[in-house]
Parts: sequence; C-alpha cells; structure tokens
Amino acid sequence: MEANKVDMFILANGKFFESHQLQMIRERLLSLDDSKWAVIQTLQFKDPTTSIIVSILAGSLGIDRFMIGDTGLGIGKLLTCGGLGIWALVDWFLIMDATREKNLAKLQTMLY
Amino acid sequence: MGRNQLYILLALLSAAALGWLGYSFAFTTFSTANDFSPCLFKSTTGLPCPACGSTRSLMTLLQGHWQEALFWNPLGFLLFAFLLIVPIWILRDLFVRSDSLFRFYTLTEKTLQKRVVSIPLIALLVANWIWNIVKNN
Repeated sequence: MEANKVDMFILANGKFFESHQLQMIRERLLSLDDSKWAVIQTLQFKDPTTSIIVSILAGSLGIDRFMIGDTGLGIGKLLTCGGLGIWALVDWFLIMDATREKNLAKLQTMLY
Repeated sequence: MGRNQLYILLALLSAAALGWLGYSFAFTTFSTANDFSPCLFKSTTGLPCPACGSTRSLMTLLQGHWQEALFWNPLGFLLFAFLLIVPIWILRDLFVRSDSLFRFYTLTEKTLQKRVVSIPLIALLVANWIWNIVKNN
C-alpha cells in the first residue's frame, strides 16, 4: 500500500492502538495489497476514552467488558457485584489497554 | 485472553466465592440491616445491584430451600451450577492437558454476542434487577 495512505490511517486511528504497536502496524500495512484499503478504512474501532468513562460509571455491572466484547468477563463482573468492587477498581486501570488490544485483534483479522 | 489466564482467573473466582460462602455461613443473619455487604454498588448508592442477594440465595439453596433461594435472587442457581462444574472442569483439563473449558468459554462468548440471545437475556437481567430493588435486597 502507498505510504501516504498508510500514514493517513495511522494519523486517523493511532489513538486506538498501543504506541509500541504502531510501527508494526505501519510495516504490515505497507506490505499489504492495495485492494484491502477499502475494507481497512471502514473498520470501526472502540475508543479507549469511552471505555474508561463507561468503566468508571458502570464498571461494577461489567458494562465496560461487555462493550469491548469480553462477554465472559462482563458476566463475571456482573454476577459478583464487580468482583466485590475490587475487580471493577482494577479494571479502571486495565480497560484502556484492553480496548487497544481488542482493536489490534480486529485489525489483525484484516492484516493476515 | 489465553487458556492459562482464564483458568487462573476462574480458579481464583471459585476459591474466593467458596471462601466468602464459608464466611457467610458463619456470620450471615439474613437481615439486610445487620449483615455486612461487600457490594460497593449497594454501599455507595443504597440500591441493590443485579447480583445482590446471591449469597443468601446460595446459602438457602445449599440448605435445600430452593423456593427461598429463588426469592433472594434467581442468579444464585447460575452461581451454584458454576461452583459445581467449573472447579471440577478445570482440574480435569489440567490432568488430561486439554483446553475443553477454554473452547467452551469462547463458544459461549460467541453465542452470547448474538442479538437474538443477548437482548432477551439483558431484558431478564433488568427485570431481575428491578425486582431486586423493589424487594430491597
């Protein structure tokens, strides 16, 4: 893929991924076939900022985990009152990176 | 999340649940006013969360009073099944070096993410929560 297209993608979507992964994403995209560009451009990513807000407001009900697609963990939090509050608290610190990882996993289904 | 991470998490959850259950058998008086509530949601908002009452539900279920268990919180039955099955399943998987529980977990997750499954379940949970608030669990 052309470098300017890749840079455009990184510029628009960089905040959805962990910074140390951006270099790898860039290289993968550069070596990717041009026909995939349309699909990759339409991918919707979850915003880490949204998930931390949801986590703070409704984390003890597991809504944050449901939102990023960790349904099993969401049920776990829901049925234990947010892990007696402890799990909900720990997730305030984990949820942003978890969201970024989910985004990478989503992009990777397109990359390989 | 990988297989080992999931198994560690589930084992910790089961152990914590069994420990809490043991503690509750020693100290719970079945009166909302006297009992210590570990639920942060309840202590901050004053309202019960969707899972409040499941300890009392599990305890009454273990004593054989299933109608009473249904009254405290129907989710107790789900937790009872979880506590009965999951620890044994983990041990089995560890001994025969299988990942059947992990595959079952991933499959369940996929099923639950379908709209036809998730929407009725969410409706049920919300109804249960409203009931929980009304009976002041």
